[in-house]
Amino acid sequence: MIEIRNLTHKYRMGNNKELTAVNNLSLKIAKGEFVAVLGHNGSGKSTLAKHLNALLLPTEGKVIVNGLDTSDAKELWQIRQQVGMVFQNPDNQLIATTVEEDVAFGPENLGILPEKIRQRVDEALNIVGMADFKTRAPHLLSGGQKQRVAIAGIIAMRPQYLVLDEPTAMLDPSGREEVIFTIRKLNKEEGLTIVHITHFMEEAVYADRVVVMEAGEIVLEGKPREVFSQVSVLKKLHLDVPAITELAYLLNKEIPGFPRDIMTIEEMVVALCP
Amino acid sequence: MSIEIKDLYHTYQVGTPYETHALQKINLDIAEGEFIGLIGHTGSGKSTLVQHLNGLLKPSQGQITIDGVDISQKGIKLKEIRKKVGLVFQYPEHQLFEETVLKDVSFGPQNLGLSVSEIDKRVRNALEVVNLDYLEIKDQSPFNISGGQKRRVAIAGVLAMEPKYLVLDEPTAGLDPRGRDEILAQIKELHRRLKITIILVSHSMDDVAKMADRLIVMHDGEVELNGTPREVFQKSEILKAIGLGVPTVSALLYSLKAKGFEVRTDLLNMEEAKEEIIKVLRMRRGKNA
Ligand SMILES: Nc1ncnc2c1ncn2[C@@H]1O[C@H](COP(=O)(O)OP(=O)(O)O)[C@@H](O)[C@H]1O
Ligand SMILES: Nc1ncnc2c1ncn2[C@@H]1O[C@H](COP(=O)(O)OP(=O)(O)O)[C@@H](O)[C@H]1O
Ligand SMILES: [Mg+2]
Ligand SMILES: [Mg+2]
Repeated sequence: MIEIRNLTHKYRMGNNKELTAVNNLSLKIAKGEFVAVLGHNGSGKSTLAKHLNALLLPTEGKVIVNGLDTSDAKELWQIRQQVGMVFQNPDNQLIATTVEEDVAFGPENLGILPEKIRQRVDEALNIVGMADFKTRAPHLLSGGQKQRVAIAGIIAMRPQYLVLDEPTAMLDPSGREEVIFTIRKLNKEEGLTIVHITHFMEEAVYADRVVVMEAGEIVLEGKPREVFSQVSVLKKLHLDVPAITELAYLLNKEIPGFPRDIMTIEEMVVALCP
Repeated sequence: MSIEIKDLYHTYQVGTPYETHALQKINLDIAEGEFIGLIGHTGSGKSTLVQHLNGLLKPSQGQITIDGVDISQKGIKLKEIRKKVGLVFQYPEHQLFEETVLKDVSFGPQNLGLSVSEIDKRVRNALEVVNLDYLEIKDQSPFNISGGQKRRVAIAGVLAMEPKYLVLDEPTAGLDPRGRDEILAQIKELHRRLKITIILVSHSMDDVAKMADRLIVMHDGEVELNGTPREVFQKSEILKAIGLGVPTVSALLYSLKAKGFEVRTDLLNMEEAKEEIIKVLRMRRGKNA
């Protein structure tokens, strides 16, 4: 479990100015959970994410990963191994000249034996569906493929938690689908705990839980169905609602009792053609 | 007046093993005042096509005529073309380079050799159009403002050239929903109020369905479909085959119809879909009663 207790993070700017990016936030992320984090730019999502593997340390409060306090320098290495991070721009994450070297980079740094590394690299590339590309040059891959290689590089270190900070923001629709498919598979089949930051509501539909941030705080939290049915609240926060949920909302205004918590086309079809 | 593209071909890296035929036999007319959505899978040639419209790329073969002037002929002044056709690149903020926002937005008009007062007027207008406060933003460094603001400054730099034709290559990629809605609303305003011709490259079927008068669908360097959003999104089989989807509304209506819920499938926005669904529900209730 990751436990965030009353976390506050202040950035220190020039001339003694402070900016509170995360404000007294508490959240628990259970093993095996898939949590989606939403919120518009500047709401503090990345700052929060960077606390989960001690890339940033709390100004106040605590972050505890499987019982280890991220502020405890002795535990840094352990924590980083348990919590892997994937960022928005795949081009900044791939460094080696072939895909397999890139994926091997993390486990090598962990000091794992070469034959074990080979096994882990193959396994990781299999899981993300990139095994056929292992001798290719990363820069020649599509955006979605690059991002899957970046994910393979992280899971080759066998973390328990995978934190993805807008991994689909720079991808086209098919690249986004590839990455989402991979993330869901890691969660369902490999049991990885997922924290997925995204602007695409359609992606958050798959989560067990959605957390909406605004000005460094959590303003909404719950199952996707519960959160998305709050159409007017989300609109006030300038966030999207899945298009189908918006239609359910419109239908509900005209047909009393029409369910408002519909998220997908399939569900809408069932509601209309019982 | 219009943009005419005749038999356009573009090949990258001719004569190398990497030779790519990025555009082939493209024929298109774009009339003044139109709002065009240009869609297609990544690699289908959209960016290559739009970079021809302001002379940034030269045709390997074929001709591009803007308001009667063939821009591919020798000796043509690029400056004259760029006055007419503004191009906002994909991730345009990577091209901001001046120390202040003011200098960045002024850069284009300065190059046109305009008077100081004209430049000032244009810069103020352009920043106003993209909803940035002139006094607040002008002396800031373009590197210290938010991603959405950077994008708007980059667009303002193109608008300050006061182009008649505005081409935007995925202007909302990577923005959050608020940033995206703002930019799209501003593009709509430019079209509606200033009558600027818009060519919008987008991956969002929902966005182009809402905004464009006409869609041009690219596939493998060629124009695959060309028509109104209603016409194009009726061809869901072709779209699927070339890796594209249909807007959420169309997808829903198709699924409903397949289940025997007799709705029209050529509607594009939620409001229309809602009306249609309610109509069908009433009819059904009438029958049952
Ligand atoms: N390194 C930094 N120095 C100063 N301020 C920062 C830094 N990183 C982020 N911020 C500020 O902290 C706030 C939250 O930012 P961030 O966590 O990146 O939000 P999000 O990921 O939701 O867009 C914003 O106001 C942002 O400008
Ligand atoms: N500078 C370049 N050199 C070589 N090939 C290129 C270059 N730019 C684009 N291409 C190739 O041309 C084709 C069309 O690309 P592009 O116009 O960028 O498509 P889109 O914008 O639709 O994604 C692709 O196969 C792409 O790899
Ligand atoms: Mg962020
Ligand atoms: Mg492109």
